[in-house]
Amino acid sequence: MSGGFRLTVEPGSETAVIGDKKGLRIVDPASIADEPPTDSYYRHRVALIPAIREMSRRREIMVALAERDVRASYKQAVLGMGWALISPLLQVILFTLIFGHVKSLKIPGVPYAIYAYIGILAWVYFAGSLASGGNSMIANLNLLQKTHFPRECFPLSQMLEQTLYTTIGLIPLLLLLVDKGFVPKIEALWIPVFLVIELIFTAGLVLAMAALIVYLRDLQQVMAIILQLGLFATPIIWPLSKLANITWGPLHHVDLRPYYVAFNPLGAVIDNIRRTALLGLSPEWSLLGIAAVFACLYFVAGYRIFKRLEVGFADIS
Amino acid sequence: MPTSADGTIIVEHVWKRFRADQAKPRLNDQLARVGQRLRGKKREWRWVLKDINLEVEPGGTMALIGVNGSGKSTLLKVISRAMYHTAGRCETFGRVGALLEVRGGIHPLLSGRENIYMFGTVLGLTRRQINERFDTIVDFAEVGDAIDRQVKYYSSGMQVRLGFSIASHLEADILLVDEILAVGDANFQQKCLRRISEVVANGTTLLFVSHDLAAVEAMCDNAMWLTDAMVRASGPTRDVLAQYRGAIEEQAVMVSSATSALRVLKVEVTGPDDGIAQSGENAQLHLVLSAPEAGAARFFVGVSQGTAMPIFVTRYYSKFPAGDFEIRCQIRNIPIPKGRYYVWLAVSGPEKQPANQQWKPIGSFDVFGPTAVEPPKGVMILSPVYVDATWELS
Repeated sequence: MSGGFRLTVEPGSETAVIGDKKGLRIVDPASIADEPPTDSYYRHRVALIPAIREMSRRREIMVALAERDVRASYKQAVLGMGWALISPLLQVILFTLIFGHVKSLKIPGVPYAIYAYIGILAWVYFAGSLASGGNSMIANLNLLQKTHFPRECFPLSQMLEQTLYTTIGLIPLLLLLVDKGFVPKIEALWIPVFLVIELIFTAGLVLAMAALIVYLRDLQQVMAIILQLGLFATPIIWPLSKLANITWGPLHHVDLRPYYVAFNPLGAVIDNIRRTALLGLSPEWSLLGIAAVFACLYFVAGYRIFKRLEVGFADIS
Repeated sequence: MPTSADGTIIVEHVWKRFRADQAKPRLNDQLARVGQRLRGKKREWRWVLKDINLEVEPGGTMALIGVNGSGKSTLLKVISRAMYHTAGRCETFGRVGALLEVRGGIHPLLSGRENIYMFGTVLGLTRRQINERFDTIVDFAEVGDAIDRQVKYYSSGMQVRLGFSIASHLEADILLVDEILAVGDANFQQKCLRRISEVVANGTTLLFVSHDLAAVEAMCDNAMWLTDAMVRASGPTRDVLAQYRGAIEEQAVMVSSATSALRVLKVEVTGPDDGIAQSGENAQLHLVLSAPEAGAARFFVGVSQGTAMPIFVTRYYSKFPAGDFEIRCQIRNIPIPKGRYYVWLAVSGPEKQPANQQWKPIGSFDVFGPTAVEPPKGVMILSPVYVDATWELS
């Protein structure tokens, strides 16, 4: 390569290319700038609708990831999928033993076990999704760095997995209903509408949490605490109506429910499932409306956080 | 934006950076950093890709070579969209199949069968497509009856075979391969190369990262050499490899002359009539060395094409005096084709003493003669050669 070097500058490029052979290009390192031109920086678009569309196009991946985790987590357990049944059942027994005798929580005509179990199921879906979905990005870092499908697949696959467990959790509920001889009211047909609100709310939080935990691992601990407190801060063992008339400090007979369900849409969801299915009342649309609007806000915010942060997922690890 | 045919890779002025400030994530470190940024100190970045330009046409084959940390794998991740670039334009057309460390997608608790479905789906196949390919994948992976066993009970070789088998049966438009040949036995490596050439023969674009220069030469028409996040050279594989080998050589010579107790004063390889060395003719190796004190040692001389793996080695045991001395080695009928070669030298004590000089390149020479016969695509040449040599020290 001695002699005959030719210094050429490629059209449209600042890079000096030295070459003396056909096809071979030798680049002079000194000709490369320290930083790229500011107008060439890559901007990540956070368009919600195309992202959701792409996500639904690749939903098979989500299903495959959920299937992988379900299979893997029960493969080594002797009772296998039985555990999906046992853990909510134990919880309801515990709650009934502890809170079943508290007079102020009793609702006439409704067995407390059923009352509590409905709340527990709705909560466990949310809490399970948040716990496993929140950790899903860091649990899959190696896959994350080597593949390129939509990143939402990871947290959302965890929600799918939890849906399966929650469905299995309906079996103890059926047994309870038969055992107590309780027939759900016809208004229970509204339940799917409420569940959509829970789904949207959960998805928003799970997406935000999954993305943030990648950057700030401390949130794992924070999340565990939130979930523990949330179990009692959500109307699971107590009815939402407790908040209807609050007198405390500067408050005099204030109805806190609209504020509460805006903050925690789950409150409206759980309360309305009970109102309709157990008591046969019609849904409280005003509270549900607030819950639905805020669930959507949570979702949009969560998705945006996720999409904004996903650019760096593969860099951090 | 113009669209191109499936299988095209376009990388234009791509830059990629990572955070350089490796501060601990603990609170006081973070606060210190926030303080610094408030005082107007900019966040520090480390550029891992600088102004990379690359274009591969459908069905083209391109290799990325360079030392560790030069940015090859990052570039591959950026192209596969697993990572986002910081600036520039990076586009691929058609389905991208990435083979970046094949064991990554395999889940140890699942059976081989479950893994094929899981990994296959993640890589973009539908369930029906996997069904169609299932038997081929199992056959290629050579796992046989173990297909329903949990993967954690597989040998590591089997795991790699399974991963490679799934990923290489994607029928993608673009195949990105990162250093898969580092694992697995020689047999499997050859099989992988065969499979990759099959895929390429079907018109898939290949982007290949490897330290195995023989494999690079066997697989790729074009190559790109990266150093320190920048492109050093790109073009036809042979030319780029020649540049790359030459640079490794130069660097090594610099290191060796600085550290060794025995100094190499002169290295010369000549052919008939003291002319240039010629294929199939006798060659003379002429070494002048300088030692601080007298002793006895074994002298190993090897000839390579730039890597530490020699084409042949010959050995000589002798006493040597203090000061300068000369070694001549007559090599009969050197069995190497036309090209540039490098002389490597190691000197070690007569017993199992530590080496006076480690295996290092000390010089280069050219050989005239017929050019090497190129093997069929996908075949690596790694032929140890026996040479007949006579030595003498004066």
